[in-house]
Amino acid sequence: MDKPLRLTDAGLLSAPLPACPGFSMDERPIAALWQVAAFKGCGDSLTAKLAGLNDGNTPAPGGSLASKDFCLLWAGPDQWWLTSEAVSQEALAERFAALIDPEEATMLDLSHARCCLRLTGERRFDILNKSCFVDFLHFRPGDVIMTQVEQLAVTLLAVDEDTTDLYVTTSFAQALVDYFDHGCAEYR
Amino acid sequence: MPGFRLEQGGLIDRSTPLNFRFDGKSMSGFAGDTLASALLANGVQLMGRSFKYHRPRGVYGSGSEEPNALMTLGRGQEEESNLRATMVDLYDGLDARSQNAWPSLNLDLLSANSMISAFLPAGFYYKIFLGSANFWLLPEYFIRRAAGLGYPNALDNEDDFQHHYQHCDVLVAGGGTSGLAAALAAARSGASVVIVDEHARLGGQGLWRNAEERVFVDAALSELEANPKIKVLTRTTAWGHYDDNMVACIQIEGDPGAPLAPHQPRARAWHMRAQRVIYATGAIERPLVFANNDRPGVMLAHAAGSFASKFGVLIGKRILLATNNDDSYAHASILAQAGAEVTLLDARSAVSAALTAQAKAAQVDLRLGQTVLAAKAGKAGPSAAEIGALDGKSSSLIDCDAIASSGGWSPSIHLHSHTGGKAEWRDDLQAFVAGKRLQEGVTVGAAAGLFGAQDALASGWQQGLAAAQDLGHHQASGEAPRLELAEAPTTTIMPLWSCPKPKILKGKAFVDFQNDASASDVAMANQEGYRSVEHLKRYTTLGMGTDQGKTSNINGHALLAEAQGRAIAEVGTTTFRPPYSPVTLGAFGGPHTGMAFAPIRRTPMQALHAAAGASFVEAGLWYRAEWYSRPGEDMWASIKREALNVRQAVGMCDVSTLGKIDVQGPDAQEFIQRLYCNGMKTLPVGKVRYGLMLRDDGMVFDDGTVARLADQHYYMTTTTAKAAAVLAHMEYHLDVVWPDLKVRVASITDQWAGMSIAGPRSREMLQAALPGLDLSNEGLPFMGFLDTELNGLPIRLLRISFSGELAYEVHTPSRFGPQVWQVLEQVGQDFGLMAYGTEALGALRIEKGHVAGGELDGRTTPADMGLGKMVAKKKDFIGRLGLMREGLSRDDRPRLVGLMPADGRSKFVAGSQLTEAKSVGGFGQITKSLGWVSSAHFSVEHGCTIALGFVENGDRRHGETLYAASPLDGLHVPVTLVSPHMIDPQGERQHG
Repeated sequence: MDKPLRLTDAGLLSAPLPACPGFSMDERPIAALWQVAAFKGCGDSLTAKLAGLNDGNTPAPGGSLASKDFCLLWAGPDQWWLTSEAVSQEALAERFAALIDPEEATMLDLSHARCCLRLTGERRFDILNKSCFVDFLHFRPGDVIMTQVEQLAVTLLAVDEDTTDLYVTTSFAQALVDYFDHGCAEYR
Repeated sequence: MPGFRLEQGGLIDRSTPLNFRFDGKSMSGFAGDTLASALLANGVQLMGRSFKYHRPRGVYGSGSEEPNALMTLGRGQEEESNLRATMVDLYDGLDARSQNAWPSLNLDLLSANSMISAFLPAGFYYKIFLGSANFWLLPEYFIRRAAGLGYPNALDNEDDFQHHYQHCDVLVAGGGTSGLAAALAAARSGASVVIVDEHARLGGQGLWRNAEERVFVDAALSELEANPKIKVLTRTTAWGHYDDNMVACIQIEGDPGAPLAPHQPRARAWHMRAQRVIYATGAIERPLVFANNDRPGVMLAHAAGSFASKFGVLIGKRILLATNNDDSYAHASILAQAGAEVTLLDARSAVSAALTAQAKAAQVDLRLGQTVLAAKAGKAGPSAAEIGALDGKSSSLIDCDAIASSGGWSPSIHLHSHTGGKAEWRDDLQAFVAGKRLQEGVTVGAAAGLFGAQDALASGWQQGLAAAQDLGHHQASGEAPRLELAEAPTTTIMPLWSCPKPKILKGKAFVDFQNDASASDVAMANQEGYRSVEHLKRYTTLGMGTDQGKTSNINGHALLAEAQGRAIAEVGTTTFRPPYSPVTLGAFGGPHTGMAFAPIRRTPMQALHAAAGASFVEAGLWYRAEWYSRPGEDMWASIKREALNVRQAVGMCDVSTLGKIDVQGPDAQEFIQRLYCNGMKTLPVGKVRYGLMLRDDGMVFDDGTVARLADQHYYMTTTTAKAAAVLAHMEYHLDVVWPDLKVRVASITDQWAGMSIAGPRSREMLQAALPGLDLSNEGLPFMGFLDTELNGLPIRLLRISFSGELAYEVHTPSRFGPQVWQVLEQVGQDFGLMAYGTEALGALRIEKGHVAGGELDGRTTPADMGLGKMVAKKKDFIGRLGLMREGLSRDDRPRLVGLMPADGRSKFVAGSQLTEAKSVGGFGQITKSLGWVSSAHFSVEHGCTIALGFVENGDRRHGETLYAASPLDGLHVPVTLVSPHMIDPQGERQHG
C-alpha cells in the first residue's frame, strides 16, 4: 500500500490549492519531520552536536540551515526541527539517533502532525497579513517565525525571496487552505 | 436661491455624469462629487432633520465633521444608515434617503417637537425621573420613536470585510500638504512610509487653496506613486491610536449602499504598527453661535469655499460670511470670484491692510466690527440675516440667500489625545493644540496650529525627516520644498464664541447641531451645577453622536468658561476617545462570521464520514461525526441502530480527537507519577493504565490513559475537550514547579488518527484483519497494547474500552488514517461492522457508568465519582493537599449515581435538578436541590432514558426515588437512583 507523504494525496486536503495572480500554493511532501528537544541545561551540548553535522553551524534563534538533503529549523529555545522531503523518517532518525543522548534530549516524530504549504509570489504576504501580525519587511531567506495565521499556530520559513513555507498542524490544514482561498479571492 | 453648479471650475470630471436619487427624486452629478456637493448642485438645501426637535437641517461642513447631512444609502442587504453626505463619493445609481423624519423630510410632523422645545431642554429625561420612575414608562416609547438617527439594517450582512496588519517606519495620518511633505521627507531618507487619508484623493486643501500649493501637491503625488517605499491608502481613516503605536484605520472599499463586485470587500480594517506616527490631520473649523445658525443654507465658511473650489458648486448668489479670523478672507474671495455677491462681516474692528486689499480686489463687501446675530430662514434656506455690532445695541436686516460663518479653527488632535497626550490652550490661536505626548507621535501642519501653507509644508518636512533619521535612515533627502507664495497668509483671530442676542429676529442658537444642544442648554447646565466639561457633555450630550462634537466641543467649553468667568484653558476640554469617526461594525468582525467564525478542525477521516452520511457536531474546534443517517431513518433511529450494533456486533468510531501527548525523559516516570492521582509507577512497558488527573484544589481535572512505550517514554491520551489545557498544565509544572525534572512533553494529537472498535465481535473482526497476531486475552490482555502493521501501515493497537464492551483502539499516523479506516471497514463487513458517532458513544458510556465531560465539570472529586479507591495513599501528586481538605471528604458530598425513570419510560434531561418534592418552580416554592443530572441519553439496553447524576450520599441511596426537575422544559420526572454501572457491573464484557 502506498504511503502518502502529502495530505492532498491522502485525501485530507482539497485540491487544487488556492491561487491568484501573484500568489500560488503548493503542498510539499514531508518525508521526515523530527522534533529534537534538549532537556533543561543540555541545550549547549545538543547544539554543539548538531553543529557537527553542518560544518560547525546551527541555526540561530529564528533561523534555519539547509543542507543537501535535510533542513534544520529553530523551533523554540533548545528545540529544532529536522525536515526532509527526500530522506525517510527512519533514515533520518538513524543518522541523528547516534547524536542524541537520551539523557540530554528527545527525538519526536511529527511527520504526520504537520502539513507543509509552500506559498509563492509577491502577493503572499498581503494574504498572510490579513490575519498574521508579522512584519514581513524584515523576514529574510532562512528566517523562521512561529506565529499565528487565522488564529492558528504556524511555523513560517523564508525559503527564498519569493517563497515561504508554512507548517501547520494537520487537523487545521484544510481550515488554513480555506482561509487562503478566501484571502486571495479579491485578487482573482 | 439655493446652491447651483458653476459653469466651470472644481476638481470634478464633467465628462462623466452620474445619476442618483434622493428621497426618490432623480438627480445628476459628476464623477468627483460627493453626495453633499451633488445635492447642493441640484438645489437641495434640506437634507435632514435634527435629533430631538426635528428642525430642518442642511449640509454644514464638507468633510468628516458633518453633523447634519446624514443619509441612509442602498436597499435591502446593502442598506446602510447614518452616512455623512460629505464623505460619500457619488456613484452612478446611488440611492439616498433622508432620516429621522415622518412622514417625509419636507413635511415632518415630528417637527412639532420644536413647538414644545421649552419642555425638552437638555437632560429633560433625567428630570422626568425626579417625580416617579413609572411616569417615564409612559412617554418613553414615544420619545424613543421620535428621537434618533437612522435605523440599523436588520438583515444579515453578507458583505465581505477584511483585516490587514501593516508595519512601517513612519505612518502619516492625513494627506494634505503637511502630510505629503512628511511622507516625502521620510521616504527619501529611506524609511518605509504609509500615508492614509479619509478622502478619495490626497492633497487636502492643497488641491484648491492656491495655485502654488497645487503645484507642490501634484509633484508630491507623482513622487509618492513612483516610490515603492510609500504605501498610499485613500478613503482610509486613522480612527484610533493605541499602545505601542498601533493605529487602527478603516478603509472604505465598496461604495456605501451599492452592491459589491464578487469578492470585493466592503471595508478593510488596517492594524498599523508604526515606529513613528505623524499626525497631519488638519484642523476643523468652528461655527459662530447665533440664532438659527442651524438652518439649511447656513454652513461653515471653509465648506462654502470648498464646495466652490473643489466641486464647482456655489451655495448661493448673495452670501453673508461672518468671521473673527483671517482665514475667511480667502473663502470670501473664492466665493466672490465664483460670481457670488459676498458680504464679509468681520467682528474685529481693524484688520491688516493686506486683508482689506484682498477683500477689495475680490469685490467683497467688507464690514468690520459687525457680526451676524440671527438668520431669517426656514427649511428652504435663508432669505435675510440680522446683523449688528458686538455690543448688541443696534442691528439691521440684510438680504442673503446663504450664510457662512467661521469662529476659528480647532486642530485635530484626536489621535494624540487617544494615546493619553495632553491638550494645551493657545491664546494666539484660540485653540487647543497637542501638548505633552506619551507615544512616538507628532503633529504637523494645521494639526499643530500651523495654518499657513508654507508653515504646514515646512513642519511636515521637518518632522518626516526627523522621524526617519531617528530610526537610522539617513539617505540624502534633497532640499525641503518651498512654496512660492506671493504673500504669506496671516492667522490672527479674536475670541468670539457666541454672537449677541438679536433684536429683530428670534431663534435658538445651537452649539451642537447633531444633539440639538443650544447655548441656553450650556448655560442651564452650568446653572444646575454641571461645571466640569465632562459633566456638561454627559448632561447635554454635547460632543456625542456620529460627529463626536467636531464642530461643537470647543464652542461648548468656551461658553461654559464664559458662564463661569474662567479662562478656557482652566475649564479644559473633554478627552477625545476612539473612534475619530464612525467605523462600521462589520469591519471589527472582519471575515470571522458564520462558519468562518473560528477555524474548523478536521480528523483525517472527515471526508469518509461525510460521504457516509454523517451529521457533524462541534466539539471544541473539532467537527465530530455525531451520527450516520441511513435512508428512511430519523436521527434517533440512526443513533439507536448504531448503539445497538455495538452491543450486539461491532462498531467503529473515530476517536482521533482525543488529546495525545508524548512524554519523554529520564524523569518521565516520576513526572507521570506526580501528574496522576492514581499509581503509575508500576505501569510496565507494553501496558496501558486509566489515569485520573486533579487540579491543585483536589477537584478532578481530566482523565485518560497512559501507555508506557519504553522506560523513559509514555503515550498519554486526554479527553478531547481538555487536550490543550492538560498540555499547558504539564508544561507549567515542568517549567515552574519542577524545573529540575528532565522531561519533554509535546502534543501529538495531530500525529495520530484513532478509531475505536467496540462490540462482542470486535476481536473476531480484528483477528481477521490481523491474521498473524494473537489477540486472545493472553496475547493482548485488557489494558495492553502493541505496535504492529495493518496492510503494511503502522498501527498501535490498544485494548481499552469506553463503551463497556470488548473493545480496542487502533491508532495510526494520521496520513494513513483514511486507509486504515477503509481497510477495517472492508474487513468488518463480514462481522456486521457499522460506524457509530458521538451520540451513540455517549449513550454507551452512560450505560456503563463511565464519566466524561458532564461529570468532569470541575466540581467533583474522585470519591464523588466513585473512584476514591484509585487515589494513591503513599505518593505525592498534584491535588493531594487540596483533596485532604475537610469539605472534600465529607460523607454528604454529592456522589455519582445512575438514574432511571421510575415509570420505566418517561424522558428527562441533563441539567435537571434532583429534588425530593415535585415542584421547584415559582417564587416561594423553591425546594432544596439534592443534586443534578450530569448526562442523560436513551439507552438501547434498557429501552428508556437513563442518566448519570450526583446526589448527596447518592452511593448509599440506591433504590430511592427523587424528582428530576427541569422547569425550563416543564419536566418533573420521578427517577430511581441506581448503580452508575447500568450494564455489566462486573466488567465481564470488556474483559471477555
